[in-house]
Amino acid sequence: MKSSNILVIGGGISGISASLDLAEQGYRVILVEKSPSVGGRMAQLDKTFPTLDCSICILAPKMVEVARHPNIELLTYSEVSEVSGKVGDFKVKVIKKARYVDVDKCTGCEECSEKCPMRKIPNEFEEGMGDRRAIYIPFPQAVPRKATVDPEKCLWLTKNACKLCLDVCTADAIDFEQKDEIIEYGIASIIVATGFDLIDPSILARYHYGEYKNIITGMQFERLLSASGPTGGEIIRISDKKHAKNLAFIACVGSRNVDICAYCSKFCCMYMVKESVVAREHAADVSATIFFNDTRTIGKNQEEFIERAKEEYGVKYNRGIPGDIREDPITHDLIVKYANLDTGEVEEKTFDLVILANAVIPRKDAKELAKILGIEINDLGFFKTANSLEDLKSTIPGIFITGSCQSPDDIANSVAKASGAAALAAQYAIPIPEEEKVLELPPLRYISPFDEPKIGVFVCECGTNIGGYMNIEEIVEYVKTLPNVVFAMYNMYSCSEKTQEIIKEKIVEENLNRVIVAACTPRTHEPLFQNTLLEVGLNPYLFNFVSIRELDSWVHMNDMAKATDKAKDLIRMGVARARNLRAEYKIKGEVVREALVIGGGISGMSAALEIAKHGLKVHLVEKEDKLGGQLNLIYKINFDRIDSREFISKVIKEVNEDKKNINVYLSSNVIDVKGSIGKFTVTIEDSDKKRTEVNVGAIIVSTGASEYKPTDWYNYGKDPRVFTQLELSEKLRNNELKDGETLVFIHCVGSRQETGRTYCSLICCSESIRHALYVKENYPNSNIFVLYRDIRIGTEEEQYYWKARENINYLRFSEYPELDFNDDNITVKVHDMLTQTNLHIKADKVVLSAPLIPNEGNKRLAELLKVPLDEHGFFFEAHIKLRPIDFATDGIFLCGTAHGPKGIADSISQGRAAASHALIPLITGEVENEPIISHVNPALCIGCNRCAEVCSFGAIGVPLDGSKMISEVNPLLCKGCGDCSAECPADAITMSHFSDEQIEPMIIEAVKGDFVDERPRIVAFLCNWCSYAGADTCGVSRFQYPTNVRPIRVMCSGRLPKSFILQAFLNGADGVFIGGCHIGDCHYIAGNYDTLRRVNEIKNIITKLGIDTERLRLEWISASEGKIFAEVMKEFINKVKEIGPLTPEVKA
Amino acid sequence: MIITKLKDIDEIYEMIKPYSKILIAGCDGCCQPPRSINEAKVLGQMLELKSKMNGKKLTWKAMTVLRQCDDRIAGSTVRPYLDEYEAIVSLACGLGVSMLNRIFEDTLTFPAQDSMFGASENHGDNRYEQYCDTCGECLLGETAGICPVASCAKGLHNGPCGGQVDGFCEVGGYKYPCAWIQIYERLKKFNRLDLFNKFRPPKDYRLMTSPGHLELIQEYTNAIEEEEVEK
Repeated sequence: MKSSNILVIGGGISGISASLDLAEQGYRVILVEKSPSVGGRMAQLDKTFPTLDCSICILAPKMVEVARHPNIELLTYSEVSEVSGKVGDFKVKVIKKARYVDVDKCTGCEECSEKCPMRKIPNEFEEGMGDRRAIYIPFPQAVPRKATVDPEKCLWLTKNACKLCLDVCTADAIDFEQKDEIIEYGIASIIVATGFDLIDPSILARYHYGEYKNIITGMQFERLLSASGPTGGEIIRISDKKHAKNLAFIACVGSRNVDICAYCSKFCCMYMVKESVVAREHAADVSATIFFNDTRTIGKNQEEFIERAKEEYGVKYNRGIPGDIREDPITHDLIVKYANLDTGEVEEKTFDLVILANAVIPRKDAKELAKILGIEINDLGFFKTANSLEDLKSTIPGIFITGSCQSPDDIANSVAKASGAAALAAQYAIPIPEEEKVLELPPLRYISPFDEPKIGVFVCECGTNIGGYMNIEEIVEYVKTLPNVVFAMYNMYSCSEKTQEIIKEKIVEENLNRVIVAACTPRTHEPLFQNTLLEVGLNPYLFNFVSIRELDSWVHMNDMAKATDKAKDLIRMGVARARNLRAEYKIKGEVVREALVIGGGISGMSAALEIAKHGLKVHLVEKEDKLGGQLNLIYKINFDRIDSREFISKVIKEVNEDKKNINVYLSSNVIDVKGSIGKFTVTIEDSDKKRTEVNVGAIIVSTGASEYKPTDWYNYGKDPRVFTQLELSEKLRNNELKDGETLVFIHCVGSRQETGRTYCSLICCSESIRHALYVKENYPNSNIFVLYRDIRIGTEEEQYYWKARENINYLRFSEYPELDFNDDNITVKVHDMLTQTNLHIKADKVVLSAPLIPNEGNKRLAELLKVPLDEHGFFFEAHIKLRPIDFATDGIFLCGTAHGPKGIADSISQGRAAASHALIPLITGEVENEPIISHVNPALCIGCNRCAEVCSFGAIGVPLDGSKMISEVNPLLCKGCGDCSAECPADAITMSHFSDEQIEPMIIEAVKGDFVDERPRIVAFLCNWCSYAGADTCGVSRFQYPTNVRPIRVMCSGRLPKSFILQAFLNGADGVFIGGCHIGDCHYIAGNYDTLRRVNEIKNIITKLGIDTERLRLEWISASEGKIFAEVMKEFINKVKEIGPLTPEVKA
Repeated sequence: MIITKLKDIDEIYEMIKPYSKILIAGCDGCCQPPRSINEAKVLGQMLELKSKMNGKKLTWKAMTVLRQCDDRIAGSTVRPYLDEYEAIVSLACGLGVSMLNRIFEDTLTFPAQDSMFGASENHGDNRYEQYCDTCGECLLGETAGICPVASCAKGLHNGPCGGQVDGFCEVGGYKYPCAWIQIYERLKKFNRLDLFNKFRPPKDYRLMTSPGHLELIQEYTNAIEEEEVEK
């Protein structure tokens, strides 16, 4: 029988994405990560380009999800040691290395690290710039957040001395008897996503890395920028604590170097821009200079990002890599000597800090892993693929490669490729059978909203982590006096197996219908307790988590009385909310197990084939009279010169042969779409106006793009001697060129413009090199001049560029060349930047590299599907980094060049990736949503449609088909941010689980405190994903701030209506704080824009009410900005203290 | 829809200063932005806070009316609360405020808003535009649906005038498009420049007199009666 198990090796963003896809599709994933935590390189990054999203903010939810997912077995600190068998039936051995810590008992308090005497171990996560101990948690957001003992450094393990950690661990989690464990699995298929290493830059002696203290790598600089990094986000030279203002970035350190790394590392150009921009955002007086060869962009909006960096952030670009760096012996500043290729001069400049973009190299254990897996390695040392179009398949069937272990790639491409690999890997496995999935759970007890709440409160001591900083007994006694609390107790560890049993017992014994646990943080532990409730038949939404560790004991370690009072307040607020909690039920929808693919090019066909392989029906709609799209026009693909028509006809044959599963509609268009994920009703019309209606569960958009016909340029279309690269390809196919002619290739004709088509088309450089080489081979006497701006090619293509340069003339221009059209030739006049001379080239033919442009039909299709287009007319994905193949609207996916210009291999991967996402609802046959969604009360709705305007997911609004004039929620699309509920002028929308009736009592209780004098009293509304997470990071890092704040967690800051803020002031708050995600980082796309608008509105008004606007503070705080959270709190509390209490005397 | 703007909170506060119990009535009708019960609640909170800051206690209730400009609807929804409150603050347009004052002779209703104009809502560019001036003599049939009375700064019946440059109007500093150029372009698109060339007599301003009265239902029954009398 086929196995359900799929092995994923590597827990970086690629491995995480692939695992989540497969787990969601219903397969069992064994995710093996070598280090103690998942997260990989992305967890180390401060921001991501080109949107400057906070990296950990967008990654952390996914890290938590892989750890929680019932279909994923997460093995961290583990390695694959043996693989045998073949596809469908691999036998895999995994070594689970001894952590010397019982992860079930460890609470992640880090008390042990605190006491560990091994202090000066360079921290790998901080790239050696900070310290860690021999027992450690690698970083604050680590998943799992469990300690690990470093066996090479631990005094006990190396010298049989110490064991201090054993004494301090009250959870009894440390176990030096632990041994490595070998686990065997039967595995259907394997995904390798082991990522990359970075070269030690000291290999290039001229940069003196390791010798001069103020030369660091890009990754080290990333940690300097991070708010949770070694300098708390300040750009300081570690060596002398001096603020670094003048920064130099040097590209291609080791890469594009024939002696070191004969390839391009691909993403360094972009991260240098990003780091320059972020550095500038940190301090306005920072100036950054980037030394580079070619600027290379690898994805959407990146060209524009570079231009913005130059214009808005003053990032300076110097074409030319420095030849030498010297150090000033006194100041330790760095004197960089370089050629400025724009002017031809040799210059010298002094910098405070030099940042090297060191080459991406294969992981040092790549060879070893390849041996274990039996797969091959390519010339560059990365895992080898079958050919240039199959960058996901290794040389062994059933083993797939994704992410940078195959070839350096950025996050967006890695995510798309990971999903593509997931689709391929899934073919060989079967979804987990129903009978293996069902957990024995008792039926849920019915709790009516009218039942008297009976609340049980369990307060956690967390060893001494909570108990050591507040008076737990006093708290429990107090809690017992609160209304509706029928039971309260404290436990040493609430998360322990033993306490779970006690909680279950008490629920039954005391007939509890609400449960509160006051402990660490809901972000990691809420699901655990919700499951406990489920086990005794209590609805999990009747559980309320109160955080008294991250938000209290850990941030108020020096004032027991106040910390105790704050805990009482927090629990009282929790009780107030719990009283109004309602039983909620997961929302399920049935799915029509068929898919629609719009566009029959290579990406659309790739998607269709992957879905069909699961025996599911696909409707493939193509507007032309044949399948294949652009590939019908191309002659040879990539540098291995795969014949395009031959290749595409094989794929078309495969599509046409699967008559059972694939319905092809040629010369047809989609003319109407109704419905949503699970069931879309789509009308397809063919050229005879014959209409077919199909019902599908998911839609994939793969409408492609086509080459721009540059009629405004160089007499194109008028003079037959001027044609495009695609037209050249046709001439090469038909052998139409004459030998001995002079050809001039002009790049960027119509792309990378100042206005209009500002984007880089990404594929033309490689196409031009390919054609130049081909011409030179087949017409050896021809003379070719390539006029270019930057050469942008893929990692493996670098060698071909060098080869091309051997006998083809490459001339770089900054001003577009001018052409004189004579009868016997065309004179091309160009200023060559390298030699700084004006050249006149007499050409016989001029070939233009024109960009890919979006289809004209996109606009109409976008309207039908209600999905957005970007400014150029390409489809606009849900998130540029982490959701490149999804639309914000569930059930609709995109792939290929409809998303933006990209190569054929990427289009194929994306097609498979889109299939992988579409397969999630199609395989499982149902869609499920959390019940945290909006509800519209039809009696109150006034049909104003304001809700639809703020919803980024198309989940709510008045159906404008004339059927009803009131708003409706699609419960399967709603993501639960609550923005609509805050926007509704008619009070018609209720946000379940975060409703007004649950939050308003919390506001009232938050300001009530009648204990130690606690003025000023501040109510803080924090969004779950960034600010609350930031407050958690602050807690984990033990940054202290005053106790005055009473936080209220909401899913999105957009949930906050104006009335909450006013209510807080009315009830006596001296200050109101609102924390959201940074603009652009919103977990719900744009909720924080609405927050900003509402807060500004209130700010304008409250001055007139006689309230100082400084009492209301809105801050964007990301998940990594723990220190900033503490600082903002301190500063805000002091400010409000200064203004004084808001206690006007009220006369009756 | 009627475009309204919330008055300065100080101004509203001054109006209700003499009272300690007020009813705040939202309007679910065509008032834009929509001013339903939540808006009434927020206004109540603001007024209470303002009173509190001035050392005064204010009791209020927020409620909403389907349409305040309909006497029966407004009357029946608001009446039940009247006994408990000393004054009403209305979040409707001027029509609603006037209506409440007329229905409830013994209670004063105060406006919380300034009524701006009747307009259409353009979600695309996020603007309210006054496309119609309710002039009583509709020309839209001759102008391809673009009203020169409302959209031309000078309300010209025949245009454009010499004040347009590159399609923009001199009134407002060449910021707003010339309505007559737009009319021309749109008529041209439909090949109906014959309508453009047609002469239109000056506007009959008698039809625009204020206050406006119209006995809607009666008008027709009267006509029938008159006909019958003639027979």
